[in-house]
Amino acid sequence: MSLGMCLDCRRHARASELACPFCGGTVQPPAVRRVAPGTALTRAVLLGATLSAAGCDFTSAQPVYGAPIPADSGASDSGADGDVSAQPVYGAPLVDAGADAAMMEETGPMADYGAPPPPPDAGGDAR
Amino acid sequence: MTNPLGPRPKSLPIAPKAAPAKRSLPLADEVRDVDRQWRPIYAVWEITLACDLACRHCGSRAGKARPDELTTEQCFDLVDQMKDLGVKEITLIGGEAYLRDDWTDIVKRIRSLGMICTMTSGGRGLDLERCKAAKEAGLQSVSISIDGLEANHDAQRGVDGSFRAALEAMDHLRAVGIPFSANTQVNKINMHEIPATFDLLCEKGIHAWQVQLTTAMGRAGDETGLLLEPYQVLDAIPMIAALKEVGDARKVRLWPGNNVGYFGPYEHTLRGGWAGGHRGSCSAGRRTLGIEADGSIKGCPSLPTKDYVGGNIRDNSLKDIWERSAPLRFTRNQSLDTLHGFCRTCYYAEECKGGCNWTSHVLLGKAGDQPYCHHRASELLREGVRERIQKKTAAPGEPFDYAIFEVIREPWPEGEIAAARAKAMLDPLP
Repeated sequence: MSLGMCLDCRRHARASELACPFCGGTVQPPAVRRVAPGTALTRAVLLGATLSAAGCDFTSAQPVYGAPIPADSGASDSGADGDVSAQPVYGAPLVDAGADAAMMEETGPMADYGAPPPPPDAGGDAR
Repeated sequence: MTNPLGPRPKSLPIAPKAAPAKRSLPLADEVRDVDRQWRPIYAVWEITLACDLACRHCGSRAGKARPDELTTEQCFDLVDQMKDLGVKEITLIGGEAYLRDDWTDIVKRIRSLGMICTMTSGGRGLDLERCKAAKEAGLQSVSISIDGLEANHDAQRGVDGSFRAALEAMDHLRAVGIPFSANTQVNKINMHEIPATFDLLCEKGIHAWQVQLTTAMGRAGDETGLLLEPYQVLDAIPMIAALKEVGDARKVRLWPGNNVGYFGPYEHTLRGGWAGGHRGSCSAGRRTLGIEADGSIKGCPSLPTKDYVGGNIRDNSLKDIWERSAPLRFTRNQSLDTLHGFCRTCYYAEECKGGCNWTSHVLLGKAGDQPYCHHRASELLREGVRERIQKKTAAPGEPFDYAIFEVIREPWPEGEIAAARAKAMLDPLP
């Protein structure tokens, strides 16, 4: 089930809805936020510790690790093997034919007896 | 000062001895494609059940070490197996992880294999020496548990002075260069001071704040007057969402726990930056792995031992347990048919699949119907009703046990319903 967001009541609604079932408002279709193939799947990636483009009206998502990383910087999140080409959740979809369906479903493991991931500058390389 | 929790329940021991690990559990003969598809990227590992606090809400009734905790070599082997299975990050917990003499050796092993290593701690004994050893070993962050301001925290932790000790632990971590975060439970007795608590934590310099609702497992289920009523998520979730925005402005990341949610008008604030833009379904046995100190393997560290241990690392490989044990497979097998009650016909059933299985199972005795849900509470509010909980059966008094509650529906009081509707944003925004 693909969920967009109602522009009026801000609830998530099925992208197939003609109008928000909760208030009758307009449902904004979702962007597909994908992780690029070859990216090491880490909690930081799943939990949004990646790019979040400016200018999106419908989400308060901010880059978790500070300022957005320029697209051509070559920087990657902690633990990733390659660049993460995430797009803002409610922006334009990526053209990414190779995305893993399993990763699409994923919305991040956050075991309640666990801890938030460390900041990207913690600990350096593995011993 | 009067203890906000009142006297501790006397009917059960504070720190019972855990039963020996369940051994030689059955595994399926075949590995299915879906079992190969999922690999844990995040493990939470209770390396000992020994603890130096006596938290009134402790789900694992921690205090005494388990009778058969893994040896150092067995721990090293388990680390190696987690690496082979694809784990990227491990959080060490207890009890209190630093009460194991070899805890920094375990940290070193994890880091030597390139995995991220963090720890969750009550902080009582996290002195400068321990922090230096942790830094040397490569520990990358510590989440300190803070349950309110001083009096409230000490009451919930069961030890006077524990609040000050926890804040001192943060100072020690800062001194040695280990970043620290905090984790806070939200319940009836501390909800009013959560914003002030968060403010204090931001001032201390946390890099992140994990927040979840106190869940009815272990000692938490013994306490009367601690657990939120399900309808109180209509107050708790907007508060947490507001604090998310405060945190964003202060560069402190808020991580909503698995029982914080779901959907409703605040989901995009809480999780809009996540890969799916909103919460999905439980990741136990798909992306998360839980380990008990005796080598018992679960899909999530929070899940009750009795129902969700799939095997023991002394009997089978981690890979075999992960792929072939029924308890580790349960979310891979989850469908709408495993839901019941409100969740079965919920608008978000396909996506959510009953929310946090831990929260619902330890409350009602089985997963699949989660009353602590903002969407659910607000939809019931449209009908003029709300849900509260009532205990039916007490817990037996073992680590990771649970009482049985029932959910009672009742009319919203007339004097409160209008304000509740406004806060739930049941009417379209102007």
